[in-house]
Amino acid sequence: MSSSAAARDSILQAIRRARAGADAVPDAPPAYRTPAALLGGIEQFCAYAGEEAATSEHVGRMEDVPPAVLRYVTGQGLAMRVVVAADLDLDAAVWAAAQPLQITGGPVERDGDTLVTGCYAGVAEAGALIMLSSSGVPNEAKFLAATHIAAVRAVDILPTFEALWTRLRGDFTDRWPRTMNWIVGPSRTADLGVPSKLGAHGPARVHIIIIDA
Amino acid sequence: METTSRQFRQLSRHALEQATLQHSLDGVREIMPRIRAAALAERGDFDALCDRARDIRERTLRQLDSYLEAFERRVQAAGGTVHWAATGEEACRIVAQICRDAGAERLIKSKSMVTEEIELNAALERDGFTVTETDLGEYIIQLRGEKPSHILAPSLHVTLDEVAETFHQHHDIERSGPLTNATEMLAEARSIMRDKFLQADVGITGANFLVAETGAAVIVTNEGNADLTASLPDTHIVVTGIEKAVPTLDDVGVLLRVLARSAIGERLSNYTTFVHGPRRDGEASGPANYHVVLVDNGRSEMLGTEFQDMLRCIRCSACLNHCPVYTAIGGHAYGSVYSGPMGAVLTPAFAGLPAAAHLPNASTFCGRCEAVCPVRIPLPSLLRRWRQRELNARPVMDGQRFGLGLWRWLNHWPPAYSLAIRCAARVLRRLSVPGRGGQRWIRRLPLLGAAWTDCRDLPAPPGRTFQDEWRRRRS
Repeated sequence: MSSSAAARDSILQAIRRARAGADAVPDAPPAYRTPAALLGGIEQFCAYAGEEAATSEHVGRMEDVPPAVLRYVTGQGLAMRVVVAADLDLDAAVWAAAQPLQITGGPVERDGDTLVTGCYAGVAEAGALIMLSSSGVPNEAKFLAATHIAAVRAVDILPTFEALWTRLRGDFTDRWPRTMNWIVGPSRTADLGVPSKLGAHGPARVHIIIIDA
Repeated sequence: METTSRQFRQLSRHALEQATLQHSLDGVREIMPRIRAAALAERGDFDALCDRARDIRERTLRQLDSYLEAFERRVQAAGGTVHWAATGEEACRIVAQICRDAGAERLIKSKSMVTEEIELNAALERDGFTVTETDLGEYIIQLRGEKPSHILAPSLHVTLDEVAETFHQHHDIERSGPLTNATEMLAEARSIMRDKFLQADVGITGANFLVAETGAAVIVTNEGNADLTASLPDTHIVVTGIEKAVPTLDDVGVLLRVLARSAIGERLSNYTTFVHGPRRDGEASGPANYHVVLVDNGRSEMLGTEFQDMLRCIRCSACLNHCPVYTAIGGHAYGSVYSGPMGAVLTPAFAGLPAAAHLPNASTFCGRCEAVCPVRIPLPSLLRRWRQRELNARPVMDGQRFGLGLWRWLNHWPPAYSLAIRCAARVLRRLSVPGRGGQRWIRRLPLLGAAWTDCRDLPAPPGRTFQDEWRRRRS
């Protein structure tokens, strides 16, 4: 028996010994229900993301994303080159509307790039973007980029964590995505004093484009 | 677990004299309770969430074996490997072996209190590996050869000037430039760290929660360093305590709601990551090897004992931030990686009571730690139990035992008690002088009382005892 297997047995036995004679464990209560007064939607999502230093804007349709990316990149004075993740369902012809923005499929370089991705969902109660790992987007790209622009459909913005669990359980009954990343605004650190400094390891800028249609 | 807790008295005296540390602790005392309170105010159901969080942790601990086994099955099904370590040494050996099997040299780590507890870095360095902490605070103290002074803000005690000095000592000074402000220091750290991330062979993280339902290791950070640590190297190792299991995603949602609000006064930390296993076919990136090391190191021995409630802890640090003792002396005085009230309960359990006997005594029992704990751990009661054990274990009569014995005797003899406190009330009143706010204060007490008045004034009692006042009002 390996030392890990022996440790496994001894740990589980110790846990069972400790439990011996204890009262039966009550059944788990139903999932937590957030009081109605606290439930929010897109407005709450944008406000809470904004309080964590993310910016957001609305566009009408998916096709409006490239011009919005161009506006943001120009407005921020960023390099006119963006890495577009494959999870964003837009063909090259649509990106032509964003000229002179240079579009590449990646990879994100060491630092300083702008990354544009789609998004599985948003959660209003935390202003969080919910991203899943997939074959189309190297997971580390979301953390190596200096600027992250995420497009999320308004219908995918859910009020609570519980709503997210329900959707995840529907979409992935048994095989969960390898990683799920929740992102609330830019990367930051408080290790160099208060207020926190943005851009600790990951993006220093997070911009959210909400697609209303 | 190695500690210097025996030197608590000397260390805390030293801490009180350090002006820069006192300045940092002033910040904790002033800012942290305020931002926590603001975050709670928005959430009208916070008490209900804390009740739920307590119940989730309690229910989990009572069925910990089945949740750990369910978690293990899920990880294995996703292609990962789960290792079990009864002690810290075993855990270090397992991690070193995984690194050797991976042919690794350079390791990166994100902040994890369990790996501090088992002194993983020292063990890996002894085995010839190069380990770099990637949480900025951990990186700073790693360069300085120090221990964390706060479970969330490990470099709390280090000033900006000292950070600059440390970077100059350890980095290429020509490239670094003068580093005159926090922004320059952050840019410096980011640039150095990028190389480390991109060159690392193995990434080691902790986990805040292990979800039995899905097999996820949930990792919470604000910097995003854990995400890069878990994504870039070809091997990812999660090292965490067995008590981190939770049954379902619904349970994680409740715990995440109370964690960030209690810890940093925010709705959620910037990055919350659920890792389910190694890279899958067709994926462009991600670690090919995924391991979870479950560390016991004294935890299962706490189950079923009067200290079981402590295993509910989710390491939010609210008890530290609200503790009048922690915010006066900081973390290093505790001589343990776990400090404040939670550390004063955990350290005797992990390092043995003789090594940590001072810690449970370093509490005023004001009760703020229990009041702010999001999983409602009765910290003062647990501290009191350690005190009882410690007092009973003393082989000889000493001043404290004599004093407590005298107090007990007085409490059993009402006439003597009444006489003693009446005398004390009058003597103290006579010693007092008028002070601010119309209150009378005692500036100097004789004998043992001088220990109090050397540092601060004592508010004078009214001169009459409660019993006298009670009699007067009834008559």
